[in-house]
Amino acid sequence: MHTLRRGIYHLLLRLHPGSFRAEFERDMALDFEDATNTLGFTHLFLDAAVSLARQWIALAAYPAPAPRPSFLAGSYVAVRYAGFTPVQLGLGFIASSMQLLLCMWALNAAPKRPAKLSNASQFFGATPAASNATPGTPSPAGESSGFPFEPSTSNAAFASIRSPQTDQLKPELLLFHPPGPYPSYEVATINPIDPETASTLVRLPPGVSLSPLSIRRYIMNAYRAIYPAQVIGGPDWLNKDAYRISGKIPDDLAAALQKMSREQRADRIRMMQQSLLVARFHLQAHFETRILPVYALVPAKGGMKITPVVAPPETKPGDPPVPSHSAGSLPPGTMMSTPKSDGSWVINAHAIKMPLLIRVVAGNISDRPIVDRTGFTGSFDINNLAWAPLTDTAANTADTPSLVGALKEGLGLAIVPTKAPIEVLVIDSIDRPTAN
Amino acid sequence: MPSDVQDHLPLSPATLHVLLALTGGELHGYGIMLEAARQSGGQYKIGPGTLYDNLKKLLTAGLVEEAQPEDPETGARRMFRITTLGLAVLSAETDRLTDVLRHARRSIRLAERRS
Repeated sequence: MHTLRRGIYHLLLRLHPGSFRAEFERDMALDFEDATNTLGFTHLFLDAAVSLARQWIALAAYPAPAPRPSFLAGSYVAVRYAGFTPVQLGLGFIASSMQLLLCMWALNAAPKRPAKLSNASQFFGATPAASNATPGTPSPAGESSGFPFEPSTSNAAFASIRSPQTDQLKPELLLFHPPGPYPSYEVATINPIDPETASTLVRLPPGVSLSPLSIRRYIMNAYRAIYPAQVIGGPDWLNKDAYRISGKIPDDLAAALQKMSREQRADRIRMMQQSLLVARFHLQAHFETRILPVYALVPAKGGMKITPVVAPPETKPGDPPVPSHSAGSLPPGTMMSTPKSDGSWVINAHAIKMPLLIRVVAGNISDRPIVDRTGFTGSFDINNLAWAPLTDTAANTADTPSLVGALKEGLGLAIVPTKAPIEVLVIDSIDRPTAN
Repeated sequence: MPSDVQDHLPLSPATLHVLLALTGGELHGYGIMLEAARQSGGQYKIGPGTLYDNLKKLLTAGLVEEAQPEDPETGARRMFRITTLGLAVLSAETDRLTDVLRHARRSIRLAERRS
């Protein structure tokens, strides 16, 4: 469907005057990809149609004296412009209208995607757990099964599904859904609360806000989704209703958690949250790999200015905690952002890896996921990397670069907009919670 | 007020929002769209067609300039920034709108007293 819409939009762009197209066609096409989710296709379509009319009227009213590219192809041939006659303009209008009508007809005639993918033959993998184990790897065709998949509390993982276009793509950003069995809370209470009392709302694309106590936020946390775009679908109340959820961890698991590392503990909690979502909210969903707009962290033109340092030793459960600040230095594997009085920030880090840097950058550039394409897998230090938020108009930060500028100047890293396969959770159905 | 500044007034809502968005720093097209929507609390959303139609005029008038050309090799997008003239025009438009608001408030108060 998106391909069809993209085709229609590109057709509209091709109908713009050559001079306008030569200057802005690429930018408009890129913005269309970005804005499809926020503005919607209808808005973008009408906007482009109005722009098309406006540009041709402007050209007819104020014809440029210089030779201009051809209306038909622009980059293929060039014709000497001698002004359009009213008859030519009329014919052009009729031709444009016919093409627009054709596009509208094609849009309506396109097959609609079913709201819920109930056809089990579309799922890959013999069992949900099997597909879960390697979310980015296509399963052999012979493993397709015909049973209707129902997630259970013992394994809250869902099936993976990929469109033919993304079948061979390995997601560059994965969700958390390891093979089961999944632990569950012994007892869990879910109490609705007034959304207004929930603290700061999480900023999403314009006009959309997400309560930190919303179930969509809870789902994001349970599946370790960093960006809202990684959880798709579901009713509107997922964003608005707020709940306070608390669960009692079974005693044996609580004892086991004490012996685990911080990350392992967090993962166990996520698994229990996934179990709760299935048991109490009747969550049914599946995983897909979709091509989404992202930012890629890449080496800048002059090359990376990163010096590898010795990687910190892997911590194992039971190891003594890493000593914090000693003699002014950071413990290995840690990063610290310090705000300054003038509104700028200073980043210091010791022996960190690229994912940690991306996590911090993503906290400030949150409109798209950020994927690592630096190819650098080692550890590195960051020393006094100063940057100022773009929205801070204080004069005393005028000389401080933005975060993007600081990354480029200080670390030789660039952030470029692109697209990448991302694993997403598509919610098929979910109910309000059952009674406590 | 310089005549070249006065020549650009009044600004259309789209032009005003584009210039206002660029006061925060260099932005690419989609960045301008997002910033304009943010500044208006989601009330005013500019599409790419409206945006580049206005950007074309602003570039021609010298109120906005290209900060960084596109680089298809790296995927870098074209960035735009407001010029000194653009800032002066925005400032003049803000003054003009302030006067309009002041007059409107006074008129509304008077109308309320009469009724």
